[in-house]
Amino acid sequence: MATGAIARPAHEAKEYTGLLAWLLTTDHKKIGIMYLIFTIIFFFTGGVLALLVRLQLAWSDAGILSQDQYNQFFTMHASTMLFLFVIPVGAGFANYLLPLMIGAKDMAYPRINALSLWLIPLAALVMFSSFFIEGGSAAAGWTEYPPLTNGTFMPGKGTDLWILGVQILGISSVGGAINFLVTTMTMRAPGMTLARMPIFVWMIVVTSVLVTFATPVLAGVLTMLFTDRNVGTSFFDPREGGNPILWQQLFWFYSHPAVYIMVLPAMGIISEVLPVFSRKPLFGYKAVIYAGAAIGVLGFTVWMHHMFATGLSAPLTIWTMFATMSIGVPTGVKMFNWLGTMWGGSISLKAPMLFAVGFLFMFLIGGIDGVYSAFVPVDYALNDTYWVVSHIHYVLFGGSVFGIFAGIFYWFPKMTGKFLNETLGKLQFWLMLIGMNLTFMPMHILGLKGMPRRIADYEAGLGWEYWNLVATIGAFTIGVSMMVFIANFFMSLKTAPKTAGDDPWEGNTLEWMISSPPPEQNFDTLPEINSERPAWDARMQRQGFAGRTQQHS
Amino acid sequence: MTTHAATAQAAHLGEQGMSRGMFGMVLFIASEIMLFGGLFAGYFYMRNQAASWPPEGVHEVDPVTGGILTAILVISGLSAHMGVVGAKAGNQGLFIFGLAGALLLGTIFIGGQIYEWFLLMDHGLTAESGVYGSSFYVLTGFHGAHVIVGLAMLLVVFIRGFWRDFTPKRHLFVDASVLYWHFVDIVWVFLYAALYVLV
Ligand code: HEM
Ligand SMILES: [Cu+2]
Repeated sequence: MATGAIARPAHEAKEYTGLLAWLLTTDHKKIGIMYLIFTIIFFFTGGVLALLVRLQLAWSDAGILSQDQYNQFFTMHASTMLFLFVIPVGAGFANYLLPLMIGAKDMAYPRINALSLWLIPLAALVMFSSFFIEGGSAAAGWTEYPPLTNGTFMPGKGTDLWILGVQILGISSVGGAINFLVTTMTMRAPGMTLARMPIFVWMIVVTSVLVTFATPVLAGVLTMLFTDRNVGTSFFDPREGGNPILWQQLFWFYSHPAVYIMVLPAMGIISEVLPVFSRKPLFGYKAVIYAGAAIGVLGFTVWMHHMFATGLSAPLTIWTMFATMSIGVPTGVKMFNWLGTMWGGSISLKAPMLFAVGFLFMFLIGGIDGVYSAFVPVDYALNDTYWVVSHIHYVLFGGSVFGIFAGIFYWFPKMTGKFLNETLGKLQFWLMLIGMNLTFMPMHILGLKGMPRRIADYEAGLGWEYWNLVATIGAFTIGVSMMVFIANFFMSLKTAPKTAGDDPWEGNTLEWMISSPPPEQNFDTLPEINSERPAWDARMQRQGFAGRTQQHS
Repeated sequence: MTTHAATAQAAHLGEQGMSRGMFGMVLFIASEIMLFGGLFAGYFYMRNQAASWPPEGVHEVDPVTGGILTAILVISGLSAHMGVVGAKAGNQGLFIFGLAGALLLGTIFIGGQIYEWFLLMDHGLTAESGVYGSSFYVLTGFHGAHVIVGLAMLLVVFIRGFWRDFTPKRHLFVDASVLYWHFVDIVWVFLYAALYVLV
């Protein structure tokens, strides 16, 4: 259905072909796909750095990396994963899907959209170029705390290039976020009321609000660090009346909301996948939206839980502790919604569903870890140990990355008309699941045994060797799972037949009502939208069921 | 299958609500407010922990010079507003006059600020003069960069308007640019209060 070509106005008629059609495009679908390709390449780049880091830590005195290399690699691993992969990959999915899901032709500002895309490889060039200059890349961890990052301790230009790269990515993010918000608010198809928008769209809305309001604060504080290093200002220099804690305040004011920027899109993805593969509507549609919004708002109040050990005043400490724990509540609500969706459903464990279920279990562990560290006395002991590294990875790898793969397997047929191979997908899932637990579960133990994070080597005999080796084996298992994905991706793209059709999974949302891949202008004719599951409604009608889907909320 | 009677051949699919361009500008300004909010927060953080403010021995900025700059920018905002009124009413003369005034005064403001910077540096207040100098130059520098962006937008408005690109019904770009200009003005008023006046 709905594939007929449309005569386009003359000024749009000039067509590029081949590579140029991609480089010069302002089509949200092409831009979305390029976002995904770039960010997944960065995911693998960050992954290689992680494997090198794990190799160095596999044994005491492993001697694989020098200390300088180690510091650069773990710093660039995290920076790449956070700023070049997890944050922009969400924008990539949103670019491809958001206009389709709300029945729009494109994004509100297509050219700004193209700019947001191309700033990403530019930023990557800036950041990675630092490996080839004297002094190497940034090396103080992705949090770049002064005084370690002042001109005395980090004299190389790597830190400056890092600042520049992150600034460029910030501009890209804010441009994207404003674009998503304006598109959602002004370009919805008739009948697509706010209360009928897919949860994925809602989560992108919350994410975009966070990006719009938090990212500029990072831009400000990065500039202060830059001028401290290059112009002689003294914002973070106590000798001149500055204070390094100021960096932490402003950095975490951004970076705590940023962790939700990193996970809310993945939550949106699994909120689409779980109902489809449970053959039930999402349990508590409105509750999921309100919980998402609550997480967004609360997310702005708790940044100081990263700073308990700096000696905050008692009222601030206690406030932050309770506010942080209270974020567990909306997060728990969502958990119940997802489980309730699966409850009693006829579940089909296809690859997208496996990854979505993997998200639920792994994210749960990460959330529990988080609440532990939010307990101030506990945090005093666990702060800056491997416990925190474990928490980070259960939420970001177990959460975001599993959600992202759920999305890739779910929408690949829409983007290409072909399925990814199901067997290889399952193999990848199990390798990833086993690998991540082998890698990150032992880090709990290492943390409790007092192993600090961000050390290049450790002495034998502290009881850390065994679990470090296990973690490294786990990391390489994840590496293997990624090789399976790469093989699957290229094989399916090349050899799989175009069998997906418009609606391979019997989906709920508008994108499943047009061809795969969708025509250039998305919708020739707009489908009727009477609920938050227009594709389901239409299928029911086709199959002769009288009446519409019951409203549930 | 069921389809809506209306086909989607029109350029806009179900556009609704506030004008698209204006909405984007409002969000952009909101993010800019957070940018300056963060900088102000940093400023007051350091100011609060200082034993005295301004710290002993630094050369203080002069509220009179700052006041003149403030007056120039505020009048420029009023003038830009006149330009919008002109564009809405289709009064080309008023439009040109308002925008030319805003552009001229904005340029004078930037010139005046650069002049003030040099003057202060002559008196020994530089970005290296502790947190007082740091915050003065970084905050006013950030703001100055925004003034330049605002001026560039006003210049485009002026040129397009000069060639009669706007009509009483189509003047979104005028509104959005002038809104941004007002934002830049208002930030300056707060900066003036915080950096020059507050003791
Ligand atoms: C139930 C919700 C959560 C709670 C209560 C929580 C709590 C905490 C606390 C207290 C810390 C500080 C630990 C320390 O440095 O001593 C922390 C660190 C961290 N959390 Fe969470 N968290 C939660 C969810 C998340 C989510 C969803 C993400 C990301 C998707 C996340 C990402 C991080 C990161 C990246 C750090 C470490 C930052 C660093 O120092 O490098 N957290 N979390
Ligand atoms: Cu946090």
